[in-house]
Amino acid sequence: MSAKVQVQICVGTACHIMGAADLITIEDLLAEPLRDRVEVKGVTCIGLCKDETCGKPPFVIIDGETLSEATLDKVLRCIEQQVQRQVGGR
Amino acid sequence: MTDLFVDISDLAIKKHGESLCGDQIKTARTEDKTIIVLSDGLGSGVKASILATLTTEIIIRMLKADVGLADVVETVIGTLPVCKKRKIAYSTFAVMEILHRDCTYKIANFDSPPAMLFRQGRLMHPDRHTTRIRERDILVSEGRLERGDFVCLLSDGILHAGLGVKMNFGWGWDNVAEHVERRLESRPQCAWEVTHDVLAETHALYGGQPGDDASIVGILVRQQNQLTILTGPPLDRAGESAIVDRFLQSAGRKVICGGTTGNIVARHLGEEVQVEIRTMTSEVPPVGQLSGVDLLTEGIITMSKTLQWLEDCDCDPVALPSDRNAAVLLAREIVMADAIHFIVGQSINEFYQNPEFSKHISIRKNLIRELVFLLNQKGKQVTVEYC
Repeated sequence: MSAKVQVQICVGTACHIMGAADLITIEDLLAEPLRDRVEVKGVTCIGLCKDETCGKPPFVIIDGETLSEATLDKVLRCIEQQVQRQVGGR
Repeated sequence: MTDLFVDISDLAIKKHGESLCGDQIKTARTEDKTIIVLSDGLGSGVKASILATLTTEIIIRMLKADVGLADVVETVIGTLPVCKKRKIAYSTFAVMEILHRDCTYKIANFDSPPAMLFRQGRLMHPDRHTTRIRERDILVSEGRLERGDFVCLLSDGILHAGLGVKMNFGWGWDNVAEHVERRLESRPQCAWEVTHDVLAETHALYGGQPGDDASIVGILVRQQNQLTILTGPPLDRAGESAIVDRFLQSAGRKVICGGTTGNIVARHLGEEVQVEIRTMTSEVPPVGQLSGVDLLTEGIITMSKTLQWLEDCDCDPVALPSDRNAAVLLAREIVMADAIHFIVGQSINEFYQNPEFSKHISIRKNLIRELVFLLNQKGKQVTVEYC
């Protein structure tokens, strides 16, 4: 089986204020077949909030790809794309 | 001074139906000594409260000014009015003075229940002598405190608990002492563990409706609980390493408040912060873990919430919720500490200046100032360094 999709939710001050707390339910929202393929963890401030060119918090990094203004919808879509990419690339 | 610390917890409950407690407790620490006064105004309610307050204030002020205990007692007895009907003073009191130099103590009881001294968990019977001041008997005991000693000053409201409700003659001095002995068997870490227990039992014996004001001061001689809080990245990046070293080598418990600060320490340790994401709530970011660090939290939001908890619970650990979110855990660390040292980094994250945020977010210094003010009021020894 391929490596799991790594989802890192930034839980720093700016990200928390801008809605990171809503994102921790992401694991519960994943469809059953996806759950074993995804690992969700929190990370302390990754510093992207200090750089305007990176967009606005909350930030989530999915297999190295940065999502700004992350919402549950955005994160779910990105996870699905990553999983499909992994399946297609097998 | 010895390396011993005098941990004091005082608690009082008022007579059922009264708006004010007629017992008053006041403590003061100077460089040389710790002073504790418990005063019980005759009767209950407003009059009792005012007289007890006057008594404690006079005693504390005079002792702080280094007037001898005998002179203080004489002044107070000479000042207190006497009830015409009952021919007794309007306010009784117990005073304890502990010298930091060598931990010697002196206790004077004026018509109040004799103080209790426990050594190695057992009730001691220290030498007591009666001295007459202005035709009143004052019970005096003196000695030297040792590590682990526990002293109780009480008002008679505790001894009378249960009188006519659950016991014919009330709880009584001997039974209270036995109760404290039993509680000391579990080796309490802090004085409040005993005082809360005794007052809860008092309340229960009164059937939830105290027939008198009841108060207790618990004094536990132990090692000082130290806490160092590192919050905010330092202005000078070149100095980071030295600050982190000093933080990690500090005595006592260590707490980091701030994700970026946590990352700096993690880099220094060659580790990554492990975030316990399930401890995150909509109000407070989650707890993190780093080796050698007792608690790692986010900075500003968590500390604001902690300040709110500390104010709400009046720094009483029993009143803190049992949640394991970062703000409550931080509040618990602070409440359990006697001496707190803040190392405050002044580097500011520009994004926090964002007008979308409430104003307190950007001002770490103000938050620290508010915390320090509250903790000083609660008798904590607080020091702050900015870097």
